[in-house]
Amino acid sequence: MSEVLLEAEDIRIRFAKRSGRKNQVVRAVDGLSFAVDPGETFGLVGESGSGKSTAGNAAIGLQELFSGTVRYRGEPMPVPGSARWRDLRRQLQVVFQDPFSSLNPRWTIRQALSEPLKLHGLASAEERDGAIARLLEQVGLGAELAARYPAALSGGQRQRVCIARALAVQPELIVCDEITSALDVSTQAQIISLLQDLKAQTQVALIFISHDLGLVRGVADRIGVMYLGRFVETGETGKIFARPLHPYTIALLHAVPVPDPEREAARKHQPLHGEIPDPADPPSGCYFRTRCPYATDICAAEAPAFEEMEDGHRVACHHVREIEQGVRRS
Amino acid sequence: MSFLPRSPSAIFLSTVGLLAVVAAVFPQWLTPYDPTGIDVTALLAAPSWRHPFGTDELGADVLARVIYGVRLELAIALGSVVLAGVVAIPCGLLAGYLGGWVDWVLTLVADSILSFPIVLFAVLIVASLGASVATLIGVLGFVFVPRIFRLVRGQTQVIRATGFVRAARAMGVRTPTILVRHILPNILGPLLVIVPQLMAIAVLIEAGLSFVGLGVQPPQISWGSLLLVSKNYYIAAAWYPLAVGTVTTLAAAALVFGGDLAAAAVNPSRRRV
Repeated sequence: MSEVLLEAEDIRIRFAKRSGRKNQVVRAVDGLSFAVDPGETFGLVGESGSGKSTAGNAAIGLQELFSGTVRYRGEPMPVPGSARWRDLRRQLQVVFQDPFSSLNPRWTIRQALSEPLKLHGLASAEERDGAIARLLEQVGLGAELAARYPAALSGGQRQRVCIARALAVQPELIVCDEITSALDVSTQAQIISLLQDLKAQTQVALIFISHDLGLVRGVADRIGVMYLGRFVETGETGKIFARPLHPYTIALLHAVPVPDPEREAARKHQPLHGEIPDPADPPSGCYFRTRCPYATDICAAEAPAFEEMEDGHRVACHHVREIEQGVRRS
Repeated sequence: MSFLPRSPSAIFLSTVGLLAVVAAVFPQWLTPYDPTGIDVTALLAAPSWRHPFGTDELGADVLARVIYGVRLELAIALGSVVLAGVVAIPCGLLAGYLGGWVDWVLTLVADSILSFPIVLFAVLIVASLGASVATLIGVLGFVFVPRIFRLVRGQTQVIRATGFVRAARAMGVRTPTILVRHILPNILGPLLVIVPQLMAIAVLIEAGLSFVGLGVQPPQISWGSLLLVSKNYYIAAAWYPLAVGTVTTLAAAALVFGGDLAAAAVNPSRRRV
């Protein structure tokens, strides 16, 4: 097995929140552990407010931890702003959700792509235009776009430019933070296929954050399903899709439409009711119990262990055995 | 030539602005009269083709005096805003970007200044330092600092959270570079609105303070000092204070509208290749 690229161990992130007179602590990420191998794509899935973006930022050293460690190639993440941290910026990149605010509106695409090249001394002034043209080509855009301002580009084009900007430093890992959620469905598919091509070409590892399991299935090698800052289920993409074991994952999978009207109509739906609880005031025991169809007394009493069911497939649920058998029966 | 004004109002206001600059630098190009020339045959003469704003108590052309007053007016307005900007823009960028105790301290100072009545403050300063153009610029500049600071701080907080600033940080761009190259250019629009607004306030406060003897002192010519003298003749020659007051008001209005137009013109969402 190859060396682990990035490893997060029991990371916790808290925010102070004031509501009225009370000072509350929001546990955005509450004890998360995961590892990403070189060239691997790890999908972080969950609803809004599940802490997946915060976890993604923490993975590349953009978010201060309350406790726990993030190690990159075995080395703990250095302090933000330090020289070592600055060096790591060449290895760890990020693409954000909103392509409309991710490019400086006063800069041309050439300026936007020049910034990382200049900053890390990756291309001399003469080589720069060539490097920019290659980057644009790599993300499926024409070199003539370099002279344009972001306002002249579509959302999909802008997101491609953001990907090109992240690729400019030839990173080993890119965090893709909901990069398709602001785009049309057809553009989403194009971006996903672009990511698949880039993975094959450049061996870059990805942390792909999304609330859309259908999209994650297309890119991720492994998946971690998050709920209120914790994993409820992790494992290889194929296994999770073939046999989801946590009630939350099952509900999320039911929310992915099947592109076949007859099969879609025949499907048994198990919709999720209610909202994700306030992370400043989570339920006792299992966080998911307030929305879980299987919840019993034990779920309120104690938090379930994160059990390994089979190789790499872990589930945090008191009732996982019943669910497993139920799944097998049907 | 995309920066040239196109709409009729933009063309009109640009012309007014250009005239103001000419009046400040080469006032003799705009009027044949000497603003201090005495003509005993035409004391307080009513407006006529020869003297559109009439003449003053010494027979000097009022229009000429208004035109020669632009220089000091512009110096006070620009000087006070530049002075305030030099202090307030870096402070606002730092407070908005860094947050924490830096923000807390700077905001506290700014709010303290803001809670002080301008005129009372001006009276205190002038009483201790003496009335002069320099004192006036200093007082106005000081008063404008929190106004520019609050704007810059708020805008910085908005832009700090955008993807391109976060991406620059993730890339390893240093904070000063982020502030100057990413944030500052993107708050120019709101700054361009507030600068002419503050200049308008400067013109009005100059007129007010000089009128009560705390600003520009006659024989130096500013609109405020003209108002001060002209008020003595408001019955015998009503056009005299009226002409000066109207010009002051219109100049302030032109500055405010000009700022709005300039802000629309620099809006990058209108810029394409």
